[in-house]
Amino acid sequence: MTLAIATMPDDPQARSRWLDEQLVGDRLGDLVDELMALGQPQTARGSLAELIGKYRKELLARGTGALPEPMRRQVLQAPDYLLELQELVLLEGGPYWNSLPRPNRLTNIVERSRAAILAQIPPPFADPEPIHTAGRHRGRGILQWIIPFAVAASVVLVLWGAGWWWPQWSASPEGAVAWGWAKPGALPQTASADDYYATLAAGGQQWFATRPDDRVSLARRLSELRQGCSILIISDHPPLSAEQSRELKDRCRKWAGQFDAALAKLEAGEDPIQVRTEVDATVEKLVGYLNSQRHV
Amino acid sequence: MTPAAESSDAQLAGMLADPAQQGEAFRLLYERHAAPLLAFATSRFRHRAEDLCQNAWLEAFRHGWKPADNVRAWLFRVVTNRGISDIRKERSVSLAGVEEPVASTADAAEPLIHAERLGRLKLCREKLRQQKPDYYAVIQAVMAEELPAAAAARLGISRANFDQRKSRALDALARCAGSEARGSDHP
Repeated sequence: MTLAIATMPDDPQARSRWLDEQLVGDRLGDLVDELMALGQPQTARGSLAELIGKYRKELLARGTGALPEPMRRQVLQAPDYLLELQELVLLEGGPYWNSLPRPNRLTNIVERSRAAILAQIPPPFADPEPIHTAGRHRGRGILQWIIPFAVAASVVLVLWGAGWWWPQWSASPEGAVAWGWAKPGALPQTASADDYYATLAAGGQQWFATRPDDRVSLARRLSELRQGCSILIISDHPPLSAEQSRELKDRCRKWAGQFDAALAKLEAGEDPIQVRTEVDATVEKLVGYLNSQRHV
Repeated sequence: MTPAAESSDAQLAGMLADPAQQGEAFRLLYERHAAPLLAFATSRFRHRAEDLCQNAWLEAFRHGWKPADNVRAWLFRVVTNRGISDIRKERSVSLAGVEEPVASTADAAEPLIHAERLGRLKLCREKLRQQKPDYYAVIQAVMAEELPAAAAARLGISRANFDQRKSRALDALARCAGSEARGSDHP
């Protein structure tokens, strides 16, 4: 991947707009690292609020182009300011900041995540025990939220069982993943730990059931595998002990990082067969790990 | 009232309780806040940002959308607290006080997150300085936001030569940082 600083325009007039796009994009962390490691960063003197002072309102309305040039340079030369500035504009910035283009990588992840979140919403509200506990401790207010969700979740489950899918909760008909860990109901909540690991291993093994060899199909399938990782990371895993659950999630994060890297390679134009071979190796390892945890 | 782009966060959160409206209400809330949340998370917790964001949305549901008054700030705080907590757990640091909200997410997250890549980049910068001092001088000018024409004149090279060195130096640094990263990956 190229350095974030490599995209900085030579023309000082264009740098404010470029900096604004960095602030709403997904590479600000990279940019901060690069400014700190490759340049001669200055320590931020005083808070960001003190630095921008009377320009705050204009900054939030019009972007960093509203700052005097020396002040804009100071922000870039003292990377400590950048993360604070990002938080400020993301929380309080006006329509200008929402109108800036966002990188495809970021919007793709946002879409992928929506499907993963929707797949996870029904179970917490369908479980009667948390509802009872929450109601006892939090009063009627929480019930006003949870009971309708429990009812809604029940409807979803019934429709699901009948082979239907509730379109309002689905990002799109093709958004629902039909295999692996992201498949609805893929994680049994009441199985033994042995059976649970066996189910997870079988879910991982399903990666090999389809062998896409073109870039687009492989990227789609890899995204679904990655989505399954997210679901493993954010799930509670009731059949496992706290220690087992923690270790599983730690492993998932490493696998997820490797799948993200594989997706980045695909997007960078690397040979899909080579990328698929690398993913195969990771999946073989993770299936091996999951099977090794049975009867431990 | 039906969910609409003009609806406030609090109004949309209220509609989440209505099965007839919850799909559209969630879609609007998600469209409004998901991308800024991911940008925020990626800058601070690069490799786990996606999972932290999904967790934050699910937390909002688990909390019955109590954060409706300021959904985005609430999501930012959940991502920050959970991200720092995860990192501290991984580093076997005491959990005491981890769940307390932090005063400034930038202050809390930055030193924890970027140390590894920062170290790699510094190593690559030193390699460049020792092996290609001409390229290193150009990179220093770029990082100082020196105007290319002025920097080229100061270095005694043509503008075209400056641009060429800049391009090659940035490629070399990117390759170096990438190979250092692969070398340090754990299986």
